[in-house]
Amino acid sequence: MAVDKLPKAQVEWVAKLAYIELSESEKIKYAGELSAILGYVSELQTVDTGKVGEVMQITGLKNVVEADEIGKCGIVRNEFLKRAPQNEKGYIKVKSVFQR
Amino acid sequence: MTTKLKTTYETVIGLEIHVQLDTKTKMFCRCDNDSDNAEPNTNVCPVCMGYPGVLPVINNQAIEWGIKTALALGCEINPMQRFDRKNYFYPDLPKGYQISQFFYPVGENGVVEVDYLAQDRKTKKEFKLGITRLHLEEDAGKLVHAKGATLVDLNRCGTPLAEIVTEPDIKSPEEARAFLQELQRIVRTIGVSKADMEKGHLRVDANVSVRPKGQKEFGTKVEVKNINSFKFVEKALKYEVGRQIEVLENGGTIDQETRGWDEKNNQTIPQRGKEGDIDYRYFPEPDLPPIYVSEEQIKNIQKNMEDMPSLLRRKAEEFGLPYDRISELQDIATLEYNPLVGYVKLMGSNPGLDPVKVVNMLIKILALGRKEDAGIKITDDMWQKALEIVVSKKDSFTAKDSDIEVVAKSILELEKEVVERYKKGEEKLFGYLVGQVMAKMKGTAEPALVQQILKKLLTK
Repeated sequence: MAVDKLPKAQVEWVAKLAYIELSESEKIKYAGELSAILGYVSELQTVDTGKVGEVMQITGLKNVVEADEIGKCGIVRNEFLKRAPQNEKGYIKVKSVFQR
Repeated sequence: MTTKLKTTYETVIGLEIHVQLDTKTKMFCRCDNDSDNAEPNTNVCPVCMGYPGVLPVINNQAIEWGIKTALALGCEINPMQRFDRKNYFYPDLPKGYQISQFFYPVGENGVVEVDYLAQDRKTKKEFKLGITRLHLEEDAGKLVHAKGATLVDLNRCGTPLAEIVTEPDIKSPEEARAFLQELQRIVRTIGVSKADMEKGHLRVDANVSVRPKGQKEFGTKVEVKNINSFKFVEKALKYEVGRQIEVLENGGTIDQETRGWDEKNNQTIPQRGKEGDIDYRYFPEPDLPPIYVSEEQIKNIQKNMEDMPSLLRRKAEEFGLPYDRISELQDIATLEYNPLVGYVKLMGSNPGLDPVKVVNMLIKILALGRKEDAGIKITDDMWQKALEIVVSKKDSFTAKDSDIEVVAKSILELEKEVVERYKKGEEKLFGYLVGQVMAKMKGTAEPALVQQILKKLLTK
């Protein structure tokens, strides 16, 4: 099922939520690509679900819980700090949130 | 404001409170949940750090305490509770989403009846507050703002939070503070949180608006954040209410915005807005199957519930203790011991006891402990001791007010120089004067009465 091309404002909105800056040409490009994805998903809407009940999970599991007892962490600070782009005094260092 | 207002306004306040649950481990992983004294990023694991491919598992204790807290706030418990993902990007949230409960919270439609001591320290005031909902979620990490950079500590990531949302039933900053203090007592009583505001165990955001008295529609609301002590709650809200009235009186309009409390300058200031509405795109957390709670489970939790602070106060009132003294006892409670519990127990098992004398004696024992720096902690034993002293001296406090007053006057005459120094600000000399009167009365005068009478004479 064909879907109208996503309006530019929608693309900008999605980009903003994802903290991504897009150029004008990228906005046009992604409007097309996102529309194609939505079009694919919208095929589902052609299925008649009138007789199907609401489903919010399909595993059938419930009440999967653990007792409140401290377990192994399985990770060492020095190891993961190495994976962060920057670190300082045991902290992960990021760009100032005030200068975004 | 000193000028006369054109309109009479009424204040409307609703609160959103986050209470950190004092579980041993985090909400969805078994990392140590106590990081008060931990080095940054030491109580973390792949689950709470949001590594790909990990599987969160719900902390059973947090579920139980969520239900317990909701019941304590008079909520109906949802038989099916489920977690959802709340999506947003910020450095304190490594997963890119917070696991929360949006569609099926723990409890809804609660009511709390709050009674508190008015500012005159005598009158008892009461009001009712609706609880919209209580839901469980995980805390985010802590950000430390350094020069030109932000430092991230993920120890707090995944700490269980109970978020409590109230109805806009609060009519003054005093009521807001009274409810928060009652909430602190409640969660401490039921043992689910240390609820220390300064340490961030209990955090509050307030929605504040004003409207002309009698108007049905709400005024435009402003969200006040960054209030981290009970003192600031009242201060910040008072300031904000005053600010809004001033704007309206001058013909202006209130902007819907978020303002932060600036404790240095005693004012609320606009916080950098997140432009437009944030779209959190909530959807069911696929990694966590729903929780079904049975009637039996709820009844069980209800059955084992501690006596609520309001019930203790009511009982103490029924024993004849004046409300200001009840409030006094309540205010000296510690995390470990609530003297009202001991008082109610003692009065219940010793009928006929003078409701005020035992309290006076306890306060006296406490004051002695403090003076001697004995580091005294209130316990049931102390109540017992107070009881013994009161009973043994049952008939020894025979002196009438008028007797005490005569002796007190003579002492003040005799100790003119001390009185002079006391009046110049040496307040600690008051204890000396009390002691002189007591000695002269040979133990027949009740200490509290002596203090009262001396105060009266000295302020003349």
